[in-house]
Amino acid sequence: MIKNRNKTSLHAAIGCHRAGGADRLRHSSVPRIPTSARPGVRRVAVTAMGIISPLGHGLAATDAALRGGRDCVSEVTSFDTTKCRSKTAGQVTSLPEPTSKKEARLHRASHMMIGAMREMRGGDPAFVPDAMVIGTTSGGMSFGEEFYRAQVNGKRIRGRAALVANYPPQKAPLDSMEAVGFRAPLQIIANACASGTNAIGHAFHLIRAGLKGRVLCGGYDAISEMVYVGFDSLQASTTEKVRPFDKARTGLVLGEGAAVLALEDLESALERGAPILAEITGYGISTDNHHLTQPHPSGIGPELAMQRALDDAALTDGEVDYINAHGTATAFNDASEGAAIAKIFGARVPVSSTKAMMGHSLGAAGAIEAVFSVLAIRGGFLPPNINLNERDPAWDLDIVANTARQCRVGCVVSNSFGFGGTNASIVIEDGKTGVLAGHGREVSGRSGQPVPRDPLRANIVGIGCVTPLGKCAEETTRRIRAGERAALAKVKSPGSGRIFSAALVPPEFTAHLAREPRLRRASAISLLGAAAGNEAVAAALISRPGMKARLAVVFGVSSGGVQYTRRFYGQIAEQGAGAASPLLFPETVYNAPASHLAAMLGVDGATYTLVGDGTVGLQALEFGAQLIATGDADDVLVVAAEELDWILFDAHRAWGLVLPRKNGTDDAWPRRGVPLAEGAAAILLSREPGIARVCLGEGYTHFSKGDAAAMLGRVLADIAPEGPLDFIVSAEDDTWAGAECSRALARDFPKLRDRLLKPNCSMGECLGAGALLQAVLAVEELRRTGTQRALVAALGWNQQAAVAMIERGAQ
Amino acid sequence: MANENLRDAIKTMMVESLMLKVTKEEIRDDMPLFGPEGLGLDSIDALELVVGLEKHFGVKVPNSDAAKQALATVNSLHDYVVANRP
Repeated sequence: MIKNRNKTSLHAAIGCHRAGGADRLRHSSVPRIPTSARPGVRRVAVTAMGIISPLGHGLAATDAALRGGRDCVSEVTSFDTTKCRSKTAGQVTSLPEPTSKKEARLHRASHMMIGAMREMRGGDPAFVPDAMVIGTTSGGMSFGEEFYRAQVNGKRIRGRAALVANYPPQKAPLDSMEAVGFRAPLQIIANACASGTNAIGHAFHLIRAGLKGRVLCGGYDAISEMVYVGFDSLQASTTEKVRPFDKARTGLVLGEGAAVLALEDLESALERGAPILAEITGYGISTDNHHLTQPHPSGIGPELAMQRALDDAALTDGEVDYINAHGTATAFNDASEGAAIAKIFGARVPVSSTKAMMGHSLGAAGAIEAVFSVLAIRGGFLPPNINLNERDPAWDLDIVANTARQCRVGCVVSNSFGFGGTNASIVIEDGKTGVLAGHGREVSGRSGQPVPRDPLRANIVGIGCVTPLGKCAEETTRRIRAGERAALAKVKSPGSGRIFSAALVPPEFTAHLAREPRLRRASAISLLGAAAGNEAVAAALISRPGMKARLAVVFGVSSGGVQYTRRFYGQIAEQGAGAASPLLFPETVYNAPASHLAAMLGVDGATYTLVGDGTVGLQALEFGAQLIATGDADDVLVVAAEELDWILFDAHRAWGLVLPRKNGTDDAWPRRGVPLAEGAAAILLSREPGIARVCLGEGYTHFSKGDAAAMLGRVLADIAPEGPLDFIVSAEDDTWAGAECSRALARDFPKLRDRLLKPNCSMGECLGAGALLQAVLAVEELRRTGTQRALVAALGWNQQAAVAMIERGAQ
Repeated sequence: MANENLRDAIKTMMVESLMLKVTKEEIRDDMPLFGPEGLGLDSIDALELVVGLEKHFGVKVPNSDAAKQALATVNSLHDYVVANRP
């Protein structure tokens, strides 16, 4: 995938690659090849950034706060903390003024994202991304909380639909895209507290591999009561000051904020005279399967992430000038991270955790700290680790204690680790002084629109699914083909008192998995995902026993672990924070199902959770294909799953997506509204050929219903099939998105009108699992009928239009 | 509450709030709660047990020393509840 490029002219343009590199090379025992001189490796520049955090709004305010070591942690103001152990957080106090009435109504998280985005836009006005990758942990959770309280109290509040609309994690990034006029496909990574770093790392790899030219990446999170109480119930948060790496550290405090970075192929950035603030040169990801919330005490997770990032950047430990640690100040994190840093770097490299100043902003942390790292590089200082009284003697580290240090900073490693044992590190280097000559130059005409690229392809070696109609792909497909419909259960909402129809997966389909020790506490979505994932892997393992060596997991969800989330928040709302269950909280985090699956399969490398709308399954499939194309994995297990809960029915009804049962019967479906369904689908992608091959159309983001069908038309046009299509698996149903989807297909493929497979009409709307389920059914149907080529089309309700074409393999 | 009934109530609370995949009859009174030799509970279960003791029996576990003493077996939970019950 990586094209060879002649770098000579580039070197001449930027001068010496490694200004001041001699200092660092002195420490290095092994002769090294600079990243820039490695043949065929594209370099990736940061051309602009934007940030809002408790330290302030904007790069200048942030820079001043970092140099001054300002303590920006204060009493929580947005909800009652009487029954919590901890009372403080790092809170954003300087939100930008909304520029319109519409903007004024948006969520706090949207305002943060918009503020960060506008600042980035001001730094490099010509930057137009061809993809966006944003990390978050809790999305619009505070809207979910308000909706829950309204439902349970039976209050008829106005604007319930708006609460639901603001809940999905993609909402704030979409609002910020709309504010600046971007329309790139959007990937939301929800790898708990590592998300922000994962987003930057993945964006960097996409550009380096030539899959994208410009990617906007970053992260955001806004403080919510549920997450605050969750950390409090786990006794992870402290009642006093945050003291990372201190002997007497007692835990973290939460923070919030948003940060975005514009990444671009260095050569193209130079050509258009863009500012080059820094370079991303390395990314490492690891998964520690020890425990859902605790790192292995040896520090193997952080160690692998940092070592992989260094290897990726072709750097040795002696060439690093500063480590921006994850440093949450919990006993466990700092012990494991401290051990890993001491093992790789010893006391040679200065370390600080900037979370002491502003708390832990979860999904935003990696992006915020990447911006801090760039500011450190450009300003020649090391941000301090404040509140340090006595360094923990367990490791011999050079902690930048309490006050900032002035020194030349050429290379930074920034760490982010999270629940689920997910660990990520990135390497950021100075943009080389020569490059900076480009700053302020007239922007050339080549800055316009994204360059069209070939659609991404990947091999499919295994499939699996568990649905209301069957416990495997074969059974589900056969029953849909036979015209069967799923039996419907009644779900009564204690909130609204309404009764809804649900297509449920029989419990016996997943009962065997509930006995796995790791899955004892797991929610339904974890069991469903594991069942589908196991089927896909088992089929492939028969022919390829050695497969698991470089296996990655990509897990797509829309609502995620909604049952536990509702139960956990219910305890808080009804009985107060003291009654919150520490056992439920970790399972409510979006990436819990992926972590369980990775642990079951023994995956120690890339594990990702993507959140999105009904198209998230195809987004996950695209993400998996990207991991193979970037060289991050050889095999990728892509899973999408969804579980149901009464709160989800109320939410979808408030949004007009589902209808309650009428007169106790709903025999008319799918003509009068479809039921919601639970289920999971899995596709194992591989570098090696298999049973089929998938070609993925780039998703297009839409902002309104009217926009949606047009965007689906665009992606259908992009993926023009190389031969006749045999059938289409469509997301058609009675929802507006299903109807728009069917309209677009009828317009573009009139001849195939009677060769449509419509799973939603047989088993209901499977939400986040739906699109991948369509793809699984397409593969199974190709195999069953011996046909050659099928199209899968899905239209999400608030984000994306996505299309995949699947062709049967040679065998 | 008679002692056997209290032990039984503790086991019921454990099975329900810890989502154990065993029945309360399978939990022996002297079985270690933590570690592979016993019930296999972990630190999150310990936190949940602390919440459960307060919710169901009105007993607070103020610090980790008290937790270590109380959360060893069903017998130790029983003794702790008896000693600290309001």
